[in-house]
Amino acid sequence: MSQRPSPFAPYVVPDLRGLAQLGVPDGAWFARLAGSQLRGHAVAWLRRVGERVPGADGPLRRLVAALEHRLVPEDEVAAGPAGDAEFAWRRIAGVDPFAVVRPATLDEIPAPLRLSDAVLLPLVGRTSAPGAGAGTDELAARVAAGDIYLVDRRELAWRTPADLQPGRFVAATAVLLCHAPELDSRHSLVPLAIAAPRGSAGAPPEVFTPHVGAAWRAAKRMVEVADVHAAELTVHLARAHMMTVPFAVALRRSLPPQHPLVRILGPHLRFDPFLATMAFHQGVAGRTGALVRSLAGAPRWSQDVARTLHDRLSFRDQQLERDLVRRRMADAPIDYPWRDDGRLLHAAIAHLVAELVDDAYASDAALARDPHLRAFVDDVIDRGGIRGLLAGTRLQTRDELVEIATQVLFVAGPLHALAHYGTARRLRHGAAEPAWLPGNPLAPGTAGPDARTTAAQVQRVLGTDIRGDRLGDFTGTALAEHPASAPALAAFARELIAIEAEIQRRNHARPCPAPDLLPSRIPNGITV
Amino acid sequence: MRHAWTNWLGNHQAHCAAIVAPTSTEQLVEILDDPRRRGLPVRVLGGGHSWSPLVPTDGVLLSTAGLTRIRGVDRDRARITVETGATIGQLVEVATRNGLSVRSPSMYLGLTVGGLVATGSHGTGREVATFGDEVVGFELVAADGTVHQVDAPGSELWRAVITNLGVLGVVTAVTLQCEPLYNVHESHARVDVADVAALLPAVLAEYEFVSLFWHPMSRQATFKLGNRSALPAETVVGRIEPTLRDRANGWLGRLLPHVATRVPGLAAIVGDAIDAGLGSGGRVVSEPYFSHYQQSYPKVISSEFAIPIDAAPPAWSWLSQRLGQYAAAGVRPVDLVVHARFGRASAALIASSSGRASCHLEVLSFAGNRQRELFAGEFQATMQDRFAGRPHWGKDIFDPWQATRGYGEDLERFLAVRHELDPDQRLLNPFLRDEVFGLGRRLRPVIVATEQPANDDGGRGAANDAGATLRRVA
Repeated sequence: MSQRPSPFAPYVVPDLRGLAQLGVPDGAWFARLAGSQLRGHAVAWLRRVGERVPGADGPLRRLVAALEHRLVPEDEVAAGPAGDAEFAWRRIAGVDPFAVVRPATLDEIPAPLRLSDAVLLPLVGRTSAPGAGAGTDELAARVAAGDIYLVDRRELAWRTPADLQPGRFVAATAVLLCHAPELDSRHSLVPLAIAAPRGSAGAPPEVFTPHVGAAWRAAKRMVEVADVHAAELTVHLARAHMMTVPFAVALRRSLPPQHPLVRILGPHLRFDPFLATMAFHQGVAGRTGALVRSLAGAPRWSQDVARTLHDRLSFRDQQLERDLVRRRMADAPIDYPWRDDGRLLHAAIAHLVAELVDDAYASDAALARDPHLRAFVDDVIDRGGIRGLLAGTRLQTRDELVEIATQVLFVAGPLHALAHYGTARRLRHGAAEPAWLPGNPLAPGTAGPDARTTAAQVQRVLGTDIRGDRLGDFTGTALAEHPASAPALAAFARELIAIEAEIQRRNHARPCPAPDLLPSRIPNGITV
Repeated sequence: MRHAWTNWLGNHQAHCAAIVAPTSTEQLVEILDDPRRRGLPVRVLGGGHSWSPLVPTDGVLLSTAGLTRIRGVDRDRARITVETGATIGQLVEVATRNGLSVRSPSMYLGLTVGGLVATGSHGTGREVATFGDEVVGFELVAADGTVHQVDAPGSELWRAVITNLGVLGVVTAVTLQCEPLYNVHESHARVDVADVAALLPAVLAEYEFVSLFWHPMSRQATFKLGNRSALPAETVVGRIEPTLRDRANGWLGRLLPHVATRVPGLAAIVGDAIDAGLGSGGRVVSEPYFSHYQQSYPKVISSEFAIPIDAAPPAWSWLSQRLGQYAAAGVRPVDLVVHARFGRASAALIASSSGRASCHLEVLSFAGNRQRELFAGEFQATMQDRFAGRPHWGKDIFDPWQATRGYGEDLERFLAVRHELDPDQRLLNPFLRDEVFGLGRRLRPVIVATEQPANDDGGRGAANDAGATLRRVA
């Protein structure tokens, strides 16, 4: 395996020469980008003006609000500090659906969160039985029943203040949730406790329960901000961009343009190298990158968080069902949009890919004989550094190729859309949803970011809130011009329409809508 | 796009989907349709003067600012029907013009009728409970758009509505029982703070209207006392429009919070100035003049507990001694005033004075007093643990999780009525749902018909005339 040229590889694309090979988007894409940048600046300016306009509902304030409304359509999902039900829902249906696990034993729960019976019972609507105290029988019983859920953000732990940018704060948090449908709750999951540090670097986490009033609110705020960081660094960068770039590069480097895999994967990865290169130089490199300015971490720390996870990830283990099983979420008796809506999308993509692969390779033997495909796989593994791509040592069967290609499309489409647009949708609320905090909110007197900071946050997220195309729309691609693909594409389009209706139906019944996996909001691939 | 809202003090904000201000009940019913379809929560916004986060929501803020009409005055029965967005100032002006006195009004005229009813707010007086206890009829629009017209007190729904926290629906109008306009002989007494506890029983027996003020840096407290008088008033009938002195107080009120916490000793001067502002007493004044002596609010934070009136002397002794200990240590968590008012039992299910004659003990600090929080938790714990106190819903509540302690079965009855009117919990915000009522951690309610238990309603006659009551059975 070749040595990586950069501590942040494979984000960097070292072997490409010239823009043509990078897959530069067309003029329409740049026009949309320019439009979104203008819109971001305009909304940020309106936000700053709005802050200075006196009167909560005066005519000037209404004018500013109306102008902003023209630029940013109203969101169906609420912003701001949420109640406990909404807080629990966000942990499951938020922008990082990978953090939640169902522990099988008490040992899998961080020690501070192993709540005693005396603490736990009142949190689930029961009075403490006589003698209930320091024991953890109730928690153990609920863990055994599969009712306990843990959202652990330990990857955000920082060691020295230099890990963070001056005046910015984020912390590793852990949240314990309980499935308790017998409670008078709007969501069957109720939060039990949050472990969060009260102090600065190296401070041990303290446990906060809903009984502690203002501290509970502050701890929830810390969790929300940690969510944004985890979504950006571990989902958006590590699981989406860093996972797909090696495929996009190998597609250009190791396959001839007429190769069937180029036809299948191409529409989904066409802008990927260009965007990854641009994102690295303008996003995560140095102190001026947009992503760095959006988050609390110092550039090196942020890169380390993303890289550490990426290095640990196995491609196969991240397959939707395997990942759900690993986290014991495959059959969790809760509404879990990543699993429930994701399965619909994953199945539809798998159907499409299976048809296309069958069209490309008449048999497994034909596939095994394809030297270009072998070179492509070697490129992804050896030069791209993707771990766990294959079940064995060689790609031998069409089924395995279908699984790999399905996962690439699923990551480039739904997963990236959830991370990018989901985070943007949330952060565009500004002050109500800050991306970072000026200090630990558990310390008395710590205020939120100022108006200028949150306006800049809105500007950044709106400035990249564009979609290059739409899932299932292959207009102008080689796939659309390949006659044998037409039935599969038509069937895929029909499936997406049905999925759209089904998710809309589910959203009506959910505590809050989960709109980010609606097919109409997902591009074919990473287009921004 | 979200709409930003900030309350009067600036300590609570909301970024909500919409702020709407209907001007009629019909319009309100139409407006409620949209959040119902979109599954958005709705909170009612009155004047935004609460210190506790009753209002903030990320859904729809439904302002009563457009509901300000006086719907009718019945001089014969001394009743006024008023929409809930009207201010106490508007109400008192109409009442005075018609020869009526409003019962148990707030001293500050800028608060709204709906806000006072929602929070169980009160004035002072031996014969009055909360402002809401004077409601004899109301119009309530439930979350589903159903309009409930109730024209007699006493039902379970009435008992819930007269301190409703805005969680039952939108109370759009109320009919208030007033009384013929009367005059008050006002007296003031300055006494040593150490003697207050001993004097209280006699003072309460002697005077119908009792208020007590003490600046914690002063050794003396001031009783503002009053009894009805048949003599003509020496003052103008009402003091509804701010006088120059009121305006000056308002300006000072805006200025002082910025300097009072920075300039040692200034807070004491402010306290004395407030005492001086009460006047010297010893004359007959009209009731509105007596009741509404405050025309503007400085930037202060208030916390208040209603304790049984018999507990007032020991509670006062504890409070004065404890604040004295703080002062001796150089800590002044209460740097403006300690204020006590007295009233009879409320018939409301969850008013702080429900079921018992009460002393409303209030501590006020300038906003920005960082020492305030040192005492806030102790104040709440002591008031609740030692004196069976219940917090005023509109004032700052340090530990909301404990706020519903002391209501017993009446809280369950209130929640049962609430559940009937709003089963989808759309009229709650996180503060009320999670921190006050803890609805996310209660076993699901089961509603059964049951008899209403006896309740000391202070003679108000809270007999249930609405048929079977609702009871929550876990």
